[in-house]
Amino acid sequence: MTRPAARGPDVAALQRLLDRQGHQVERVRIDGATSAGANRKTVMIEIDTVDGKTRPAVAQIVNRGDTELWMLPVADEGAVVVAAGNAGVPVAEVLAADHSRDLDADVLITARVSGETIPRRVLRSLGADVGGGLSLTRSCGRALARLHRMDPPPVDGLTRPLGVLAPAAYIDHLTERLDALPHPLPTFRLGIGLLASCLPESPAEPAVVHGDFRNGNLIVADHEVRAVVDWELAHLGDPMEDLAWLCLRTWRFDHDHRPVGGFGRLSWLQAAYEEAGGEWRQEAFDWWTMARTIWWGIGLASQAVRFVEEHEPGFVGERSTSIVHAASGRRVVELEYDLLRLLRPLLT
Amino acid sequence: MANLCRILAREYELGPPARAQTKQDLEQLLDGAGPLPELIARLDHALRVDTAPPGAASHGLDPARVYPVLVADVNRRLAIARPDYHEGDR
Repeated sequence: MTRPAARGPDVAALQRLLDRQGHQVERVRIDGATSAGANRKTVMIEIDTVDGKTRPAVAQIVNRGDTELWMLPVADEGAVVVAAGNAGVPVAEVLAADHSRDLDADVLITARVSGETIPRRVLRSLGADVGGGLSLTRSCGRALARLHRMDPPPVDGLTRPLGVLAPAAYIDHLTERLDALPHPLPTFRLGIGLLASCLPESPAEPAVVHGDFRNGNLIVADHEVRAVVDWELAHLGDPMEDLAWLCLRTWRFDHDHRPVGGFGRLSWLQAAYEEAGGEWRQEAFDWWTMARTIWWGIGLASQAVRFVEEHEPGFVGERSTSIVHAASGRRVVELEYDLLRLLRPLLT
Repeated sequence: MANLCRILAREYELGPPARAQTKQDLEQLLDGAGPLPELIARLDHALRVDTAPPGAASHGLDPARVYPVLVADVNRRLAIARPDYHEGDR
């Protein structure tokens, strides 16, 4: 049975966006529930083309309100995804990546890839299957090695050069974000100070870094990464930043016995990464693990402040009614705990 | 909702003594009395690296002295927010 086209400006706006990219679209239908993250709304759609085919796709409507230093405009995000795909990284096909005046938002439309993205479901599907966890971990290692070996500068179709993120600049960025919070967090302040005194050696050439490669941004099927998603934080930098982020405790979803995304051992990831041509640098990995722990802790605190500001004016910052943001505040102490454990070797 | 109620119950029971102990620890570390928010702000300022002498890890305090105070404080707050978090330690 053919479902009727959904009415409403959103669908028409998406169709106009696809038309501008040269896709011959008869209509766009909303197909399933939408979901909302901290800064983007995801809508499952079906695209009916003029030749009678139906293409499942995903439309992400992006709110750039809480921008990171190097958050890419959607057009550039699309360009990076295409380049990564050409380098052998599993990605979804980009159908449109542009600003929609109708929606007053950036929109990224990609072909839908079958698989699971919800972390706890990914982990449940693996269960006690060690082989499955090994396969998925190795798949991550290969994907990251291919990305990091990509020849920069990139990337055709960028509207501006990719930002370069070096450790010293990252320390400045963390300090700026921490200073912007209405309440001090001395644990993170201690961490920043210690990291500033032991900056890692950077790789000879900066690499294209995903910036948010983790369980939650991977479409997984049959114990393999079918597509890496959410590329808006891509930049040039140290590849170990990506590897560290993937292994942060916060992304293990209580499967702490498996440091890689809750599904794999570090040795599996390192082996796969090196076999695929990547260079593993342990000191830099450790540094970025601490640095990214601080970054995420400050990020959670910022989200909580935004929620509080909506309900208790007087705080500084952009307001939010997102329940995700409300829940973030409770988790800050977990990141403080993780950081203090990681810092211990620096103090002995 | 049930989880939220449990957190609130732990906050009611454990929160005041936790904050009192942190206050005491900070007063000893910073060698001075004051309300807890002010002590935290003073500690934060003392740990700033951007106003510290070049190459220093902090402005005026030995990080090795600060560390156990922060660990104790974080453990007390974690006991309220997420008491089972230590079980995942590796």
